[in-house]
Amino acid sequence: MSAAAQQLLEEALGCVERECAAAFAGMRAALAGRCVQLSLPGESFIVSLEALAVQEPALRIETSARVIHQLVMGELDVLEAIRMDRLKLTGSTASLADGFDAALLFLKGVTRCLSADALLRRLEQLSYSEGMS
Amino acid sequence: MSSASATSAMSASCARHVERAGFFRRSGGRPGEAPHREWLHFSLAQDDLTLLVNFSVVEDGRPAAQPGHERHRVVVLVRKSGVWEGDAEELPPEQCFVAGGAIYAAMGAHSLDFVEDRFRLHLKLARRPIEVLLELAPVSHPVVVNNVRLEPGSAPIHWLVVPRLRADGWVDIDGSRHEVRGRLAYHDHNWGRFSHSGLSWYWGHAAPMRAVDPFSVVYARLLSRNQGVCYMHSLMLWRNETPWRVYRDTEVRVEPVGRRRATGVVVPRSASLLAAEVGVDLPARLQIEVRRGGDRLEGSFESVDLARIVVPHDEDLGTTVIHEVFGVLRLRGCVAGELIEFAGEAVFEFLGAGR
Repeated sequence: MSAAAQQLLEEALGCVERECAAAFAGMRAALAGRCVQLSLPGESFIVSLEALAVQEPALRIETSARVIHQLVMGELDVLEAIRMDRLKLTGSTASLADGFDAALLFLKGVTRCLSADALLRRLEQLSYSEGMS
Repeated sequence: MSSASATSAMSASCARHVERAGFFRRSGGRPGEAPHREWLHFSLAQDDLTLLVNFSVVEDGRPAAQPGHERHRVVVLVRKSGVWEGDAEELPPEQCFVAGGAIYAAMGAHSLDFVEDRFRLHLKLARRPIEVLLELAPVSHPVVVNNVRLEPGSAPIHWLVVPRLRADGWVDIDGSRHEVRGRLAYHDHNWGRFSHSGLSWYWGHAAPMRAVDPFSVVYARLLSRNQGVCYMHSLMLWRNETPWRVYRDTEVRVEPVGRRRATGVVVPRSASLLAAEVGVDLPARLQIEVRRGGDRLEGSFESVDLARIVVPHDEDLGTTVIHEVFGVLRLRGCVAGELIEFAGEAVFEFLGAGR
C-alpha cells in the first residue's frame, strides 16, 4: 500500500504549521481534537493535528487524489462530487461542518506557503499516477 | 504639417508622456510598512473578444519570506463569445526580472516592454491554451494621479491611466488565432504601499463601440474596505488624445441598482474554493449621473458576465476577490456645449471579500 498521499498531506500540514500559524490554529480549533480518516485508492490513513490521537475518526472521507485536485482547481464542485459518488463523507452534521471549516483553513494556509505551487504540482502528479500502481 | 504627420507627432507625444511617467517603481524594502505593490494592467476590446492582462510585482509580506523578496504574478483573462478563460500565474523569482525605473518585465514566458513608442506584450499561459502578442501604442495622454490618501496613517496610492491605445497583433485561444488590427485598448498602472485588506474600489473603463467616437471614459471610486469612507471619486472624460474633463466627488452620482450573482471563472484556479459566491454585493447595474455647471451626463453600466481574481491577504487569513465585470456603458448628455452619446464595451472592477 502506497503512503504517497499521507506523506504529501503531512508535509503540507507541516508547512501550514510553520508558515501560517493562524490557519493551523484555526484548523485545530475547528477539529477540536477530532480525527479524520482519509481513504484514497490504495491508501487509507488517519489525520490528526494532535500529538496523541486516541479517538475513533469523527469524520470519514472516501475519495481520490484526482477528485481532491479537481475540487482545489475549481473543476468540480463539492456537491457535484457527492452526487456523482466520487466523494463520500461520513460523520455527524457538526463534524462535517467543522471538517469543511478545517479544510478551508488548510487551503488558506497552504495558499500562503512558499512551497504552495510545488505542493500543488505533487498533488496533480499523485492524481495522474493514481490507479497506475 | 499634414494630417498624417500631425497624428504621428501626437502619438509620439502621448508615448513620451507614458514612458516618462509609467515606469515600474519597485520596492524599496521597508520593514514594518505595508508591502509595496504595483501592477500594469491592460485591456483590449474587439468585437466579441475582450482581453485583460495584468503584470504585478508585490513585496512578499508572508512571514516566511526573506526580506526584500518579491512576488511576480501575471493574469491573463480572455472573454470570447461570452465565455471567460484564462489563468493567474505566480512565477518564481529566478525566472523574473522587473526593471525599476523602466517599463520592462520578464516573468517566465511572459514579457512586457516599451519600445519605439509602444508597449509590447507577449504572454503564454502554461496551463491554458492562450498566447498573446500585442503592440499597444498610446494615442491618448495619460492622467497621473499621485498621493491619493487612504486610511489615516497609511501610505498613499498612486496611479496612471491611459484610456486609449492602438492595439495590433494577435490572440491565440485554443489553437484559433484572432488577429488584432488597430483596435482600441486601455492601460493603467497602480503603485503604493497598501494592503487589499484595507481597500475596496469600483473601477471601470470603456472603449467606444465606434472607433471614430472621440470619447473615452474612466470611472474610479476608492473606498475603505467596508465602503464606509470614500477616498476618491471621479469620472474622467477624454476627447481624442486629450484629458478633457475630470468630474469629482459630488459632481458624480453612481448608484448600484439590483444585484447579480458572483459566478464565473476563478483565477488562479487553485484558489477557486476561496472565491465565495454568496454574500457578495455585486451590482447588476450602475446608474450614473454627472452634473457640473452646464455639463450634464446620464447613463448606466449594465453588467453582462464576469471573471474573478482571488488575492489572498499576506497579513491575515482574509481574501479579496476582484470581480472583472464585462458590460456596456452608455452615457448621454452635453459637455462644454457639445452633445455626447457614448456607447462602449466596458470592464468594471468590483472588489469583494472571499472566504
